[in-house]
Amino acid sequence: MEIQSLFSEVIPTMIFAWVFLLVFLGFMNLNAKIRKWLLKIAKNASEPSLAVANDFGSSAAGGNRKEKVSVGQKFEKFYLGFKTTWLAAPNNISMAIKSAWRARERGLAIFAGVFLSSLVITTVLAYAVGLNQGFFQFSLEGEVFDAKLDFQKDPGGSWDGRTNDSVLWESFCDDLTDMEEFSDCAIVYGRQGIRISGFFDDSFAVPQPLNVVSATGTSADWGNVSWDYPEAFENGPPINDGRTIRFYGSGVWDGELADRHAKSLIFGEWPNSAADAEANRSVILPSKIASAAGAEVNETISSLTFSYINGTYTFDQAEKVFEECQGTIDSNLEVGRIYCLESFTVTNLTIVGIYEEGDFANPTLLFHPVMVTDSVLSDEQKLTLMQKDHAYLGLAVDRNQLPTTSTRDATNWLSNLKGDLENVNGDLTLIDPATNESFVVKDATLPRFFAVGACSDVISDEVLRDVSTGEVEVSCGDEGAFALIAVEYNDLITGTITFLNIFLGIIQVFDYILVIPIVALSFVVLAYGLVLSLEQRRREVSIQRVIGGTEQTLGRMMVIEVFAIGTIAWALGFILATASVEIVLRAVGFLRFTDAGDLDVNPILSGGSTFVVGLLTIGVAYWRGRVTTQKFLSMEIDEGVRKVNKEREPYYLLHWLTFAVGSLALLESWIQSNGGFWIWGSSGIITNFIVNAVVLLLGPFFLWIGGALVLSQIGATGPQILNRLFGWSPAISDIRRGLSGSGSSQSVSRLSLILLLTLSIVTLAAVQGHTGTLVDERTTNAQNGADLKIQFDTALTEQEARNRVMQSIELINDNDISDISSMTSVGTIFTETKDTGVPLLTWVIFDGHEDTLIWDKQAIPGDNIASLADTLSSSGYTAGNLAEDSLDNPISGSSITLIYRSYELNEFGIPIETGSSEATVSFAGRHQWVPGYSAAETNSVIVIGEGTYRQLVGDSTANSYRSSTWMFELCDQTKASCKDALETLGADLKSRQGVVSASDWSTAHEQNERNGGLIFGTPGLLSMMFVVAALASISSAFVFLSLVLSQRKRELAILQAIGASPNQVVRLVLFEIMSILLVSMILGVTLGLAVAQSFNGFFGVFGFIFQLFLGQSAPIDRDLAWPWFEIVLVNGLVFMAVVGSLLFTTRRALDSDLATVLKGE
Amino acid sequence: MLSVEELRKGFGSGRRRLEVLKGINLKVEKGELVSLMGPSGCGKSTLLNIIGGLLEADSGNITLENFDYGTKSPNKVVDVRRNGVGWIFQDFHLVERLSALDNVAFSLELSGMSAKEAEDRAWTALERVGLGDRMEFIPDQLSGGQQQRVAVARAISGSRPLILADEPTGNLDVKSGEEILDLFQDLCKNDGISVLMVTHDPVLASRADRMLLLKDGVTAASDIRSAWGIEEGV
Repeated sequence: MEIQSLFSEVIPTMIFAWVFLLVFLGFMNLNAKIRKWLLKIAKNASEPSLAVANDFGSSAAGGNRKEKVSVGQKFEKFYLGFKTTWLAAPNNISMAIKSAWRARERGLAIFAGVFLSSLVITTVLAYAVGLNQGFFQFSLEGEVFDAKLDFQKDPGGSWDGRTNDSVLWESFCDDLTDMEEFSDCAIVYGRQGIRISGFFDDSFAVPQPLNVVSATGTSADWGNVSWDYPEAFENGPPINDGRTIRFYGSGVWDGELADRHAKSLIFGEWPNSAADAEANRSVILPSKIASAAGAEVNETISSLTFSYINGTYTFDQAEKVFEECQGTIDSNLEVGRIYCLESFTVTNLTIVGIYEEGDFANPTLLFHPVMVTDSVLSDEQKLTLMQKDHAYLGLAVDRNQLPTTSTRDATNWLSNLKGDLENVNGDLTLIDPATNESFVVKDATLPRFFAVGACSDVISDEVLRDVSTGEVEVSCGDEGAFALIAVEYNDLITGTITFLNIFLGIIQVFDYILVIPIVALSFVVLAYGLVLSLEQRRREVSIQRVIGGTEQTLGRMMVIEVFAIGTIAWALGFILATASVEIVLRAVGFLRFTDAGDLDVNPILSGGSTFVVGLLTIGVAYWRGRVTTQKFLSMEIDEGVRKVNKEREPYYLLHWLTFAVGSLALLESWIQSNGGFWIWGSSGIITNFIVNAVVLLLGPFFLWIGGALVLSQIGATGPQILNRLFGWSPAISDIRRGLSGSGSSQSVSRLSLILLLTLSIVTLAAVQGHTGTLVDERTTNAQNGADLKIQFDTALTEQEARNRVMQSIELINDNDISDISSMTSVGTIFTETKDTGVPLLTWVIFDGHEDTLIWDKQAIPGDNIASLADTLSSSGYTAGNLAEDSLDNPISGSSITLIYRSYELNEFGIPIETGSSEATVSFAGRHQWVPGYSAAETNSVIVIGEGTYRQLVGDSTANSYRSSTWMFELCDQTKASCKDALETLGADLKSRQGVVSASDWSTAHEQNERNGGLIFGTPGLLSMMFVVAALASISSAFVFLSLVLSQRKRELAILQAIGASPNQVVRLVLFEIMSILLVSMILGVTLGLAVAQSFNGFFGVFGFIFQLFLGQSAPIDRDLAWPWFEIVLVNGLVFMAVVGSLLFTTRRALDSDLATVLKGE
Repeated sequence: MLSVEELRKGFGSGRRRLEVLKGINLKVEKGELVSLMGPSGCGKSTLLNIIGGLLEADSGNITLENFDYGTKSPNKVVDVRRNGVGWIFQDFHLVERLSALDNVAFSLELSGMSAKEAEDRAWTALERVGLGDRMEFIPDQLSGGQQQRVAVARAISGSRPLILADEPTGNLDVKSGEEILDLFQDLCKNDGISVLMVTHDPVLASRADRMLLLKDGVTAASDIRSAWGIEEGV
């Protein structure tokens, strides 16, 4: 979030929104008056004769004469009104601010409420904006080009709009980058033009790329490299199954395109300019190619031969191909085309970089090409490639321009851009061939022409449009190349965005529900602050009325005060929130964030949203203030003067009802997660599905609100509890009576309520935040199984696998990984039970596995991993739930005998049994998964230990065990330096020949943090809730306490007058407040824990949906984590804030002039 | 019993300094009902506040039974307020959230009395002032006159020799006011308690044993006629 945009965009929007709010509120005020006035005018206008008649009649009857008010008098009246309201406004405002300053606590209460609600609401709204932006960035990360721009028509037609001049075509890039939608552009020699829409059109796969045929070089083994790339066929439409090559024009070597490309480099450097690329004759290789050839950066490729499409034929033109084609013939059955390929050779290239082949994303531009600078192509070569439709413009869209309000807006924007570039509307005159008459097609969609090259400056858009409608023809007399072109915009982003749409929708629903408590809390604080501050003025207002103050001026004063303070608070909250939303989005765990560079969002709220925030904060404060003021003003005077507020009885029944529903939901969700309790089965108390769902979804909120309301009654009885427990002690015995009377005041129970609400949210956020972090870790443990999990393309022995990995370890030369601590693998054999002949897929876990595999308590029967290891070693076995079924649900400890048969192939290739052996194993319990393998895979297997394995297959087989999947323990993956080392090692292994996949714990964990369960900053929202609620509890404790205590000043003076010593006064206040505080804290934390438990079901449901979307395989139970440190920290801070404000206010009360205080305020 | 000597008190500083009390001398005997009168703003309440230990004088001395004070700050004369002086205010100044009984008992407990004894004494005092049937009511549920009687009970329950009353009937109707005065006279005559009363009301003042006029910062006159500046014999 740049400071500059803060000033240039945010603040002006705020000012406009605020002024608009002012006008809006003023309008609402005037509304009533205007309506009356308009009504009057309408009446007068429609019945003038009646007025005259009345006059007549009254004068005739000699009755009351209506005073005719002259225009001058009317104006005077208006002016007077104008003077009092508007001209006096600045004076009124300054008086309001002065009076607010004098009673600072009162102003502070209003400030706290508006600031908090402004902060929270703005964060939520800005978060939605930032989420859209962040999501786009994240999902578009892999794409280097956002669009492929081709000529609108195939080559070789009679139609204009193409050029074979590559310089002209490239120059169009300048025109494109001038447009604000595009940030970079370059010419690319690569895949042929695409002129249909969508992947699903068969002919999408017809246009072909440039393929590498062969390469030679002195320092690497190029002869051994296979240029086949069957993975390309498997991971997209069957377009091309060879390694492709692209020649890049100058635009790729700087700017946005260079940044995007440079991100995936693992060795070497991206050229820093076109001149640099040209001078070095640069080539950048994909990692698999580089490792296959054993090539390194700075080596030379002496020659590189690549093929292009000379002609494309359908199958029924087969004969023609054989006649005409001089080069190689290749066919693609899937798309029904035969291609004639010719080739070119370029020489003397220097390898400047090697990049990591990432995921297979959008297939339009195919995958993982070799990249070369186009300066190595001769002009003739370029001309041929242009003629054969192998040159396009690769575009980078300015992603900040993408509308982030919704994905539909984004896709609309893109399709508008496409329409803009491709078409123009105009009236087309055609001649009907039958009648030879000309007719006009109105507003037809016609191809749009652009002028490039010489003369392009002087040809206007209108002329170009006339070219489209066929009215004019253009030629350029100038020396120099010139062409009119029409383009086809192939967008590469929309598909990704559409997928995001649904996903984003779910996340937003989830996140909005998540923030409901904190938003509700901020409104409670706002209301509380207002009520407290206005109540203080109640007496003042009534007294002023007695001495003649008009209701209007009084009301106005109070309201202006609220408005003025509210504005300042709103502005501060708004700016702070806008500046820090980016941090919220960067959260990957509870109070843990990625580095600033990873995400680049500018979550600036629109004018409308800014206005809404103002309306919800200042507007609500203003409205409440006005309503309360009018209530005071309309009260009977003596009622206002009364010292004890006659309070309306709170709706106790409603509180208890809410609490009851919430408790029911808590109980229900606990029973369900516990799998049943007492008389209720695992479906809980409520069996109706819909009622159950509603209760579980709404339950947490009911519990939170109802619980706070009910428990605050208990909190307010803190002093009584203290009396009961410690009334005998000398510290309390002399002030007992004073303590027991407290708590019945409403302001004290309100304080308890605020503490309960805030502290419970603090607890909830901390608990769920930590649980989420823990779940991410456990999920990674389950998926990856160990620090490093490698799948090779052949089965290797332990030693062979070790050697390969040690090679990479030595290569990366990182201090944190110097050796393999331990490694293991999971073996597979087939067995069957002796008695019943049930076939069993049997997995083998070798001794010492617990040093490498990261087990989770949820995965195993029982709680202890060490004892599981023992059990397995001593002839135990575990079974997945499907395997359990097939074994007829064995009881723990029961034995079965397994038979293993060994086979050999005879001379006919038929397996013959050569022997069998047995082993007896006893059932240890059910396993949920084996680390590194999914629950789905392990459901139907049984797991045995090494001892049993050896019994079954014999030592010689066991000792020559081979597997293609191996897992390694290398360093402590919880440490940051180990994580970095693991990532580098994983990247190196991935690029090696013979390695199908190499997954390191750190990369997998990062992905899970981002994707798994809670997505993209939801941990940030929890962190935000935690911080805001903590601040709210500390500040409301401080502010409201000060307010409550300053209302007590007189009581304290009275007590001193009747004989209380300063020490007794301090103790009285201290114990009263401390007891309420402590009880409220304990209850608040408890309530928070209960709500966290209740929320678990809610999180679980959404987590499950996300996992479905992203295909996680081992759903981890949300066992709640208890974050003692954060809870103790916040409660400690609240405690200190309260003690601080207590000491401060009480000291003030004691020091003040007793006599003055007793006399009145 | 109470002796005030050369009490001086001024407010403000420099050019804004206002000397309110310029050398007060007065005595109150045991069992005396004395009324203190004077024009508005002459310092009656200030004098009372100093005697009652709510304010400190600039110079001078006060002796009340065994207490010796006058220029000591309020925090140092807690004992005076506990055991020397009982207060009755125009606004009653009861603790809003405590019942009548609790109000009285609490003030005793603050002075160090045990809970049992305090309650007994409170009970007795409330009976004495005629509120035996209203002991559990909180101030909001009592009339003005009843609230003031609770204040009286509070003041007398601690066996304090002197009661200071600042406009005690100011917020009461005529009848209630008279009842309070009856109570005062009763306490003075039968319990030996002295009452120093500030009032504007000449009718009330005339029921006192003695009247003091506070004028120009000093006390003068002992009877009502002189107090109002009426010459003898006219």
